[in-house]
Amino acid sequence: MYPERWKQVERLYYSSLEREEDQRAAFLTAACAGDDSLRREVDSLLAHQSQARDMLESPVMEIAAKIYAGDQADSLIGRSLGSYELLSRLGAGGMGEVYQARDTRLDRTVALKILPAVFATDEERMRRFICEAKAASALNHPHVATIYEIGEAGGRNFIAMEYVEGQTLAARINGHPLEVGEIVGIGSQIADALDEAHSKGIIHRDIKPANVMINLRGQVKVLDFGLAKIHRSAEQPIAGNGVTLAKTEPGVVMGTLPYMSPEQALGREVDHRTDIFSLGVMLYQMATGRLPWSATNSSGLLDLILHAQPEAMARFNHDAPAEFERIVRKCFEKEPEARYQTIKELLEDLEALRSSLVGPRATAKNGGIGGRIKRHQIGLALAMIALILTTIIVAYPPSWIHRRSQTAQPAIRPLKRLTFDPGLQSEPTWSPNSDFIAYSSDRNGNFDIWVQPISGGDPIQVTHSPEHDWQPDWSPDGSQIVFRSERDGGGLFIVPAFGGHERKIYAFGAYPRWSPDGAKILFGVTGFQPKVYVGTLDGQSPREVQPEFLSDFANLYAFFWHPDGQQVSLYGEKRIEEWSHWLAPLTGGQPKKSELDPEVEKQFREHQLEGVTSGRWAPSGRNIYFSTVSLGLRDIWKVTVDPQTSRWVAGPERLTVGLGSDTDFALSADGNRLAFTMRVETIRAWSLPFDADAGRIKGQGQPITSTGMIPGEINLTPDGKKIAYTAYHPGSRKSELWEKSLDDGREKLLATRTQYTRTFCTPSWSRDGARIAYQFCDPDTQKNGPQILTKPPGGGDEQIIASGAYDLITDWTADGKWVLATTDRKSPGRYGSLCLYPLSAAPHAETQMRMITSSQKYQLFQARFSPDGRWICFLELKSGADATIYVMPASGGEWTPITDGQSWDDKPHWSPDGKTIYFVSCHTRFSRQTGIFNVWGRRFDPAIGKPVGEPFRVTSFESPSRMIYPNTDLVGVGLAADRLVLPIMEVSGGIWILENVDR
Amino acid sequence: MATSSTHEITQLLVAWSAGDQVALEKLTPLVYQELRRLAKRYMARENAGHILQPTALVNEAYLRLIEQKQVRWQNRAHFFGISAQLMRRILVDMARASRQTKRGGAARQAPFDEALVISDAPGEDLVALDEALQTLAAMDARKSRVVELRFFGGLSVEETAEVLHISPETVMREWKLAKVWLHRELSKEKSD
Repeated sequence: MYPERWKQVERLYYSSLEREEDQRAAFLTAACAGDDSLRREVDSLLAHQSQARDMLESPVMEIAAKIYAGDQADSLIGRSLGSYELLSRLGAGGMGEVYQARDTRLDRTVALKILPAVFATDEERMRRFICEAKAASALNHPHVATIYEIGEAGGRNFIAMEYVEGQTLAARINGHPLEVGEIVGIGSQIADALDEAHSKGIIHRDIKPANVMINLRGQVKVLDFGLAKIHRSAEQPIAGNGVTLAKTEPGVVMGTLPYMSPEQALGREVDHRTDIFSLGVMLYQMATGRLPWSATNSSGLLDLILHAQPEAMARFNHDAPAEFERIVRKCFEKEPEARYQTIKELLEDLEALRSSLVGPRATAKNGGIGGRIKRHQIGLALAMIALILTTIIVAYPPSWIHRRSQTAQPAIRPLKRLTFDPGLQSEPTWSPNSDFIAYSSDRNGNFDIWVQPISGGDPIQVTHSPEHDWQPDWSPDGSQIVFRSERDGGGLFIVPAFGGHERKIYAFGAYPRWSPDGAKILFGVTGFQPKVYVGTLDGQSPREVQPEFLSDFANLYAFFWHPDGQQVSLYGEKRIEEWSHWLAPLTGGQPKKSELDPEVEKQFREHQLEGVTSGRWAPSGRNIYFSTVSLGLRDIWKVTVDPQTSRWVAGPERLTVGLGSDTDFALSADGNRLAFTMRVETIRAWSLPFDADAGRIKGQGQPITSTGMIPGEINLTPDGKKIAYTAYHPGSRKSELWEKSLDDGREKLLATRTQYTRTFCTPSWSRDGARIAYQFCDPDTQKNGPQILTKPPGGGDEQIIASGAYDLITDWTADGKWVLATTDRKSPGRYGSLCLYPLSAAPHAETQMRMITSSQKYQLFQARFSPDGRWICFLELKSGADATIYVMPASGGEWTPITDGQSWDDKPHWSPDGKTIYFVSCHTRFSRQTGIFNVWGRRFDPAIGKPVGEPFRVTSFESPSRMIYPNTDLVGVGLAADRLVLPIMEVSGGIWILENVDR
Repeated sequence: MATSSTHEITQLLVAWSAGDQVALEKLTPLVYQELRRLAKRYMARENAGHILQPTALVNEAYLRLIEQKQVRWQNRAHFFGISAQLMRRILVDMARASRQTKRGGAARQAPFDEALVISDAPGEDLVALDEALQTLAAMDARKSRVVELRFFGGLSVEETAEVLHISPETVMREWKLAKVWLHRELSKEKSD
């Protein structure tokens, strides 16, 4: 069923439940308006409503433990018990395990029931039991499974009995009504067996379909005579009313209680008439395929057995004769005195009924007993043929079943893993014949392009450059692969599909994609200030796609070819507007926005979809696939598009539900298969041993925060012994403020809020490590808007410094009397100024704040005092990835640039001697996509306030599988004389293939 | 009190969630070991004639297994989600293996089948349940997740709500209908 159809079913289901039971039918008739399949669907769900209540309510571990316990018992197989060799396990019941075994003395096959150890511990009970079993073993009747021996060996009590090859009556019924003639035949044989037992004073007590075998000749054998009494040993009184039930354990009681007579269910003394009642239940079940009474729990069932009359069998089986109905009703009488008083009376009525059935109508077909047995055999043969046919249909569904399942059933989408290496295998692309997938892998240290056969076999390395080669895309004719390489200053390259001469076509660009006709290459950069180009295979100067239109974008998530090769999809946010998908003609002309059906739009909101990173059209032009995040989980989703209007008419449907981030996908040429990367990202703060004066990393370091959360702003005390940090939780709105000692690893949660992700921001230690200042913003609880607070480490009362603006604190004066902050008080919404707040004026320090400097147009962040207190370094951020670091006198004045503004530079820090300024930097123009941050340093002369020499690189992060967390604007860096604290993201992942995505 | 084995399990779970696939291979036998221990205790109690309280017993074991209070999982939601998937995967694999052994061991129709303690109540055949859940996921992923978290992950309604970022009322609603749907699917399979 398609999700949208299901939604319809769901709505009607709930609406029905809100109505009284007697009004539902009328409501559904009106609501379904002739849509019969919809009506059936809702009806069948309603029918299962009450039965489903108890389902899945016991813990999975209990079920697993039971299965496991069953497996353990299998270990007896192959062992001997006395003269019996255990061959296989047939089943397990309340009375122990049953095995098929070989009697080595008489060389015959037997069924061996091994009793639970509990019975052996109670001698009196055991004696009584053996006594009964012995009496039952005296039964010698064609319809009673013979008991051969009651014995004991190796500390285990067992009963050896006749092994009946065939099926149980329970399996024979299996939820379906039997033919009346067959019922009467089976019923008579059971009655015959009971008559023999009752005449010897033996009551069965547990007559049920599972205790009746039908052997291969269609003959009935009743099992377990007299053994049922052992059940009573496990009876538990229900408090108060003196009612007893057989074991309260689920699974056992439900298997037996439905067949119990009222007196047996109440735990009263029973006689042979209880078996008559139970036989009646079985007759009813054979005729209707269902139990006369069913309830969701044992007390409900007990109530029905004691008080309720079952529905007429004719309701479920039109062939049930009135006389048969009368016979069964008589078995069901609540009072034993009102039932058949002997099984013989019942047997007589059954025989009479049978004679009437094989009267004029049937004589031609079946004569006498022989005919009846033959009919059984035919019935059995037919059942077996039906079974075989069912198996064949399941294995090889004929096309008409297949067709129907395509429209009525949700698609089954097998999932297969293609790569198994550690590290990161990603960015799959299909060969046009779908036999191979090319991808990037760092299995040899750095990223190269590899090709792997889908059918298995070793991957083939296509490129070998010591620099990263990645973002492959396979040409539509199958001969070549285009990719981005970082070699030689970076650019786009083309290589024969299985390796060979590599040639550069462009000296810039990322994410190259062949046009459907294979003549052009689309590439560009997403994010802020996006640019998209279309180029040629011989590297002629590329044409910018829709430059004016794109200049209006605040954020471009993805660009990808439409299958017609004339249009390009642009997916992102235009300024101010919400995200949209546009189809833009390659050669210019007005792009067309895709409208969303209200239901699609609602779904997008409901799933809170965000963060689309890549998209692809189905070759048919009827679906768009994209990688997006819903509540912290990144998966591949699909929407259905009207090809004429490009309107989104259905979806979004989630295709992958992985434990990792599912992204970087590609569709096979037939649009049926999806290859994607399942990425697992771990983001932790690491502490690296560091010589801050020399600017050298001295070792591997170690993680200092846990997985499962993102450490936000990290602030290190000047002595490098403690960190304070905020923590974010993907998929949650929780915000936390933590303190951690790097000496002994002890940590403490200082504050937490669950409503708003960024309640706590920019923790900053005072120079003496005695207080932490931070921004606090909880729109739900704070009437006064945002505040800046301080708090003693280790916890304790917070103190308000100032309120009313979103100020971010980044440092303290050495004397601990002022905090340095960036503020938007002069230009609301823009952090255009740096200022100082005197703590002496708390909680209204804003009344005595002191402005230091302002930017006319841009924002200022990350201000820090030099160790001698004379200078402040800070960051001017022009746009998302365009930031320059400056130094100015602590009291304000002229700005001196430390970086050249050509890279994305962020998080400036002073070395403890004040002679170096460290910062993180990403020097690639396409920073958001392929850039990797590293820590850099530049010497500084504190006497004159100017930089000295050129910037130098400190860290050596090279690969996306281990890098400084690229959302640098969200996270912090800490620096002390001997320690550098960085947020590091480690990524691993492999390629998976999902089938039937177009269904 | 955490034994070294539960500690190890937790560590491996952490590693697995961080993408270490080898951890899963190491993890599976440890979960089995825990299951064995539990099954033994389960049987011992039964044999001692006590009324079973498997719910309490198993919940306790599950809590010990994942040692969730020991490790400071800051992203509980993430952790719960992963644990539920892990349990589903391991337990369904185990049930599948058990099923195959039984089929191989007794190809014939076995008698006594209704008396099996391993009840054939809908939902207790983990393999069939897993398959039905996959079908459900294709049409309603959220309900499938709710069942995975509640049943395989052993999460309370509130915890499930936290993981999926929906209200507890919605979880209850989704849980109820998912069960009805599953009950119908699984009954269908049995009678077809």
